[in-house]
Order: sequence, then C-alpha cells, then structure tokens
Amino acid sequence: MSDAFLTTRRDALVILAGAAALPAQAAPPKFFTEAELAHLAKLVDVILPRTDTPGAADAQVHVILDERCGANAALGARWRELLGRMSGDPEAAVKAAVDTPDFKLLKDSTIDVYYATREGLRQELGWNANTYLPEWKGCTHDEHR
Amino acid sequence: MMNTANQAAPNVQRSTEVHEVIVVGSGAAGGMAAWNLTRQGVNVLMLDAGTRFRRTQFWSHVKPWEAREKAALGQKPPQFYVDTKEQPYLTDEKNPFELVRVWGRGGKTNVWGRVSLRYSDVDFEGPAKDGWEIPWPIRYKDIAPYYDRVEQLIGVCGGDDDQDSLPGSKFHLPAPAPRCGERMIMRAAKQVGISLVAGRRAVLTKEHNGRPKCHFCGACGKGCDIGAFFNSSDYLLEPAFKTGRLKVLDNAVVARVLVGDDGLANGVQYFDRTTREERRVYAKRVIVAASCIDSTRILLNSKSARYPNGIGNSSDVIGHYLTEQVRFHMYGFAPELIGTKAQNDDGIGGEHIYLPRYNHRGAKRDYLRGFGSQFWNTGAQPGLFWAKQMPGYGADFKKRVKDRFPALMAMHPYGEVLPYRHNRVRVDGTPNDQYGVPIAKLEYRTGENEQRMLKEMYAMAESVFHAAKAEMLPFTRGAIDSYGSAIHEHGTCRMGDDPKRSALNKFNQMHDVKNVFVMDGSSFTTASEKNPTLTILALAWRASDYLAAEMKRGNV
Ligand SMILES: Cc1cc2nc3c(=O)[nH]c(=O)nc-3n(C[C@H](O)[C@H](O)[C@H](O)COP(=O)(O)OP(=O)(O)OC[C@H]3O[C@@H](n4cnc5c(N)ncnc54)[C@H](O)[C@@H]3O)c2cc1C
Ligand code: SF4
Repeated sequence: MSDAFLTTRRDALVILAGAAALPAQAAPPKFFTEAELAHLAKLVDVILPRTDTPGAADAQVHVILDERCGANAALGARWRELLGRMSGDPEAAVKAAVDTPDFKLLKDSTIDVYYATREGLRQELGWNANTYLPEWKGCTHDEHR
Repeated sequence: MMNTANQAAPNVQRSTEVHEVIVVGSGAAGGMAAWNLTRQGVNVLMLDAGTRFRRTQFWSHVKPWEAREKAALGQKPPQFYVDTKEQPYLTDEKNPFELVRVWGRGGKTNVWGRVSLRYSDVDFEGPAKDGWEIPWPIRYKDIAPYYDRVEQLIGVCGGDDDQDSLPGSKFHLPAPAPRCGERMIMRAAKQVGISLVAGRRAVLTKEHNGRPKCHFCGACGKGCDIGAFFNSSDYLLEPAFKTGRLKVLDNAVVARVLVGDDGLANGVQYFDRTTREERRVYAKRVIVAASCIDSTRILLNSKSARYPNGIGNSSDVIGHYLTEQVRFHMYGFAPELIGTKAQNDDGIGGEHIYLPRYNHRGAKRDYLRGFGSQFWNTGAQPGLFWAKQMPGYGADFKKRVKDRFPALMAMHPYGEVLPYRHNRVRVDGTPNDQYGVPIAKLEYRTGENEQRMLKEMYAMAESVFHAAKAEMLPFTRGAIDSYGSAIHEHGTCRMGDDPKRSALNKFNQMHDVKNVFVMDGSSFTTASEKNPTLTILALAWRASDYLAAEMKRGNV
C-alpha cells in the first residue's frame, strides 16, 4: 500500500478495494490455527468494523496479535482461552462478553494495535505527523484564544 | 566473598596511573562536570556503565507501523532503558517504586522530557520557612548565574512570562505557539484565576551554537536524530573530547569508591560489563554522578574500616530522605475540537505551556510545599490509551474515537513530596548483583501532607476542565501514578550547612571526605514540584567551578 496521505473517502475506498484484491496472506499463522485466526479476525472487526475506512481486520490486527502470541506463549494461552469462550457468532459473543476480562483484553488490544497501523492512525484518524516541518505555527484560530 | 572497599582480590587488574579526577556517570551531572573541568585544563577519566547511543540509529522517524516492519527484518531501536533482569533492584511490594535508569553515554538525557524550569526562592527558602527538615544551603542568587550559563550553553526555549515561583531568563530561545487544545486549557485556567506560562524546554527552536534547529517532529521520546535537544553526550562529552583531556571507560560499572589510609578517596572499583572482570582505577579526586539511586548505592557500598557506614556518611543521612513528586493524569475533550480535522500537533514534543506553582499566594494551606502542572499529550497524538476508557464498541464507537482524536486535553500535576527519613535506599542485607555487589532496595511511601496537597491538586484540575466544559474521561480522586514514575529522584545524599544532618556542603563536596563530590539529584535538599535537570546542570557547573578553583589553590 502506498504511503501517501489519504485525504478523501474515494481514495480510501480505492485502497480498500486494492487490499481486498490481494491474495490471502501467504505466511502461516505464528501461533493460532487458521480457524482460530479467522475467528479472531471477526472478533476484532466487531470492535472496530470496516466503515468508510478500513476496519481492524483490514488493518491486519488479528495477524499482528498472532505474531505477538507467537513471541509470548503465556499471552498466546490467554488468547486461546478467550477464543474458546468467545466462539460462535462473533457479534453475539462480543455482546455476551461485555464487562468481562475477555472483552477488555479484546477491546484494549484491538485499540492499541489498530490505531498504530497505517489504516487506523493515518487513514481513519487522519494523523500525518512525525514529519519535517520548517516552521511551527501552532493554533492560528482567533476563536480559540 | 564480598570485597570491602580496601581489599582487592589478588588477581584484580589495577592501573598504576593516578588520574587528576574520576567522574562516575556521563548523564547531565557527570557530563557537565567533565565538560567544565576539561575546558579548564583538568584531565578527567570518566567511567560509564554503558556505551554511546548513536544518533544515526535512533528511530525518531520510524512511524508506529514501520516499527513492525523493521522488527520483522531483525532491526531494533536503541535499548535505552536498563533491563532489571540484568541490573535488579528491590522495592517494597506494598509500595512499589518504579526506578527508570538509562546506562550509557548521556544517561537519561537521551530521552528526557526536556522541561527546564528554574527553581526559585519559593523552593530554596521553603524548608527554612516551614521548618520541615534541614534548610537548603544556597539561595536563588547563588545559582542564578549558573542557570544563565546553562541556558546559553544548551539552549532552552521559553517566554518572558515569569512568576515569583518561576524565575525567567534573558536567554530563552523563542517559545513555540500553543496547540489549539493548549489554548483552551490556558483560557479555562484563566477563568478560574490561574495564569499559565509558555513552557520552558531545552529544545532548539532556532539554530543555536551551531546546532540545527528542531524540525517539529514530536519524536523526542525516541531520541532526537539531529540532536536538537540537549543531551549530555553530544552537548558536553563531544566538546570535552575535543580538549584532549577526557578519557571515557565504557561499560565500566562502578561498585565502590576506594579510600586510602589518609581517609581520602583514591579511586574506584568497577566491573567490566562485558567481561565481568573486577578492575580498579585511581585518582586524586572522585566525582560521583551516576544519578540519584545508583550514586547512593555506590556510596553506601563503599564501606571501609574508616567509613563502616558507607563513605562520607558519619551523619547517617546518606540513603535517607529519598524524595520526588506525587503526580496524576486527568483527561478531557475540548468541545470545540470534537469532530474537527486532526492537525499536526507534534510541535517540539511535549506541551508548550506550563502551570507554575501558585499556592504560596493567598490563604495559608493545611499542608506544606506546592505543585505545578504539565500538559503533554494534548492534541492529536498517537497512542490512543484514552479510547480504551470510552464505553462501547463497533461503528459508533469508532466514530466517537475519531471525533475525539483532535480534542484531547491532558493535565499532569506534580506535587512536592516532603523529605522523610523513612524513605530510603538501602544496601544492607540485600542480595548481590552478578558482580557480587549488594543491590539497592527502595523503601518509599508518601504521607498525610501529600494526601492533603493532592486534594487541592485534584480540585484545581477539575476546576480547569470544568471551566473548559470538557467531556471528561473517568478518574478517581486522590489516585496517583506509581512512585518513581516522575523519574525525579532526589535527596539521598543531601547538601546542607550542618555536617551532622547533611552529607555535602553547598558545593556538593562531602563534609567528611573533601576529595569526593556528589553532583546529581541525590544532592538536593528538597525535591520542589519542578523537574530537576536544569538545576542539576547548574549545580554541577557551580560545583566543578569550585573544585577547579580548590585544585588551583592546592586544597584538594
Ligand atoms: C522519560 C524521561 C523524561 C524525563 N523528563 C524530564 C524533564 O522533562 N525535565 C527534567 O528536568 N528531567 C526529566 N527527566 C529526568 C532527567 O533525565 C534526569 O534528571 C537527568 O538525566 C539526571 O541526570 P544524572 O546525570 O543525574 O543521571 P542520568 O542522566 O541518569 O545519568 C547517569 C549516568 O550514570 C551512569 N551510571 C549509572 N550507574 C553507574 C555505575 N554504577 N557506574 C558507572 N556509571 C553509572 C549511567 O550510565 C549514566 O551515564 C526525565 C527522565 C526520563 C527517563
Ligand atoms: S521535535 Fe524537535 S527536538 Fe524533538 S525529536 Fe523532533 S526535531 Fe528533535
């Protein structure tokens, strides 16, 4: 995906279509089974779904979580328990889990990972910082004084 | 077997050279001492527990998502922070103290927050006025010329909006304009009678002493790839090397200060961090500047027949009176900014405003000392920890998060903790580290004075957010961030006029051992509500001036 700053909704949709056209991710999961990973993709998408911008699964949140679990067996075991309890229809599973530690883990992790991806931080939130600016202007709005 | 300071194992490597001055540590304090002494013609041997962090390897411009891509290629950012597995410390399980250490050239200044506030006489006169513990042996006028020099040397931006609790400077570089959210905080604070000032930060908002100016990328916490904020390695050690009078031993973990028959220090014992070998180097004078806790550990471990209690510790104050600040974090969203387009809010990293102490004015409080506040994270900043505190999930939640992204207002009040004797660093009865040297145990808890102050701190913070009509994130009144999280440890080798109640004189020289100086935050008599590094730099400059003069006079 290009690193260009996406400003318009149209751009976003074009990119999304491009992403969807890519072959399914090639590398095998690092920790989960294919079935677990597919279910995790659905769960993270319930938390942050695709709208006019990419959702959590578009941003590969489940894949990144799988990588983390691959590097940390205790974390993986914790997620596997969660997946065991949150099986079945993803919407219903999330709804039933609200207020549980499983929900908190799912929601917090999805937020942490998604909003650090290109899709979440740049495309969804419009963050385009950490650049080189010749000058700093700060707030230029009279109404904010 | 534990070696006491004066018994070396027979196979220990000793260099026979006697150096003019040994400096332990290369952070703000050690770097300043080495820079100031070498430029005055003194030869310095510096020992540092790590190595140089190379700016070309900083990840200043690695975007959050690129970090994963780089990690997949086996690349790593510089490992600034000391791993407690390698270098453990103990803390009280009920009251854990989080100790943040950076070992390597420049120490914590590689990643510090750069807030650079002068202490005022409200700070220096505090203990003399309220009678809590010993008075400072210096006043603002003693240190003011050194603040001037430090600011000119390192470059500190700020305004001329001084207050009695926050003295100003003729040498500030231009202050960056506030972000939108910061303007709203200023406006709201004004409504409740609190005047904020432009932040004072050691960031080069214009070219300074041949160093490039900041390009407003907000990445300071990852290290600055162009060195546009003060770090001891680039600003002090590199010029000191150019004099030809500075030698640095990297990966040299100092364990003890060695003592001769005359009761004076004559060198240090250290362990090579890569080979674990014990070594000794000798000098006529020793400056300990390994940052508060590590320096204190070295001093307390420097036991000998002459100093059974640790070197220079006849007063038994070394290790006691550990202090920093209590702080908390409060967040809300500015209604005017909710749903607006995210701007580039990087600026010079960290907030552009500061709330100076004001509680010494007006009615007398039911507690001693005071607080100020910082505001980092205000604006559209990556790291959406706050979204986790918002209820819900799904498309509507995603929209609410996006709308609030530009609107975050953050407040972080810092309140001074009184020096208490029971707050301490100890090495007696603690386990040894991998070199056989007792590790530090930190015992720390705050008291009623802090509880009372926190009440006003919370009331102040709430009133500002209320005036801003902010939509609040949840908070618990009275809750504080973990002990140690301010990263401003002080007090465990304090200065004072009375040798029975202090370890150092007003020039950071040991009362007991005239050729040992301790120049980091451990020398502070009180913590104040402010960040300490500007004051550490000023005190180290002043102390090393004094040392150089005393050397010329043949007194030490
Ligand atoms: C994230 C962060 C934000 C901060 N923000 C601010 C801020 O905004 N304003 C502010 O004023 N301060 C801030 N600080 C604190 C500031 O960094 C310290 O006050 C300052 O660096 C202290 O200088 P120092 O020389 O005492 O110690 P350090 O900078 O920690 O240097 C200690 C040196 O001693 C060496 N050392 C340690 N043990 C040994 C040993 N046994 N033998 C040999 N060498 C040893 C280390 O390698 C290091 O070089 C912040 C710190 C951090 C980590
Ligand atoms: S904001 Fe300025 S000082 Fe901070 S890392 Fe970027 S260029 Fe360096």
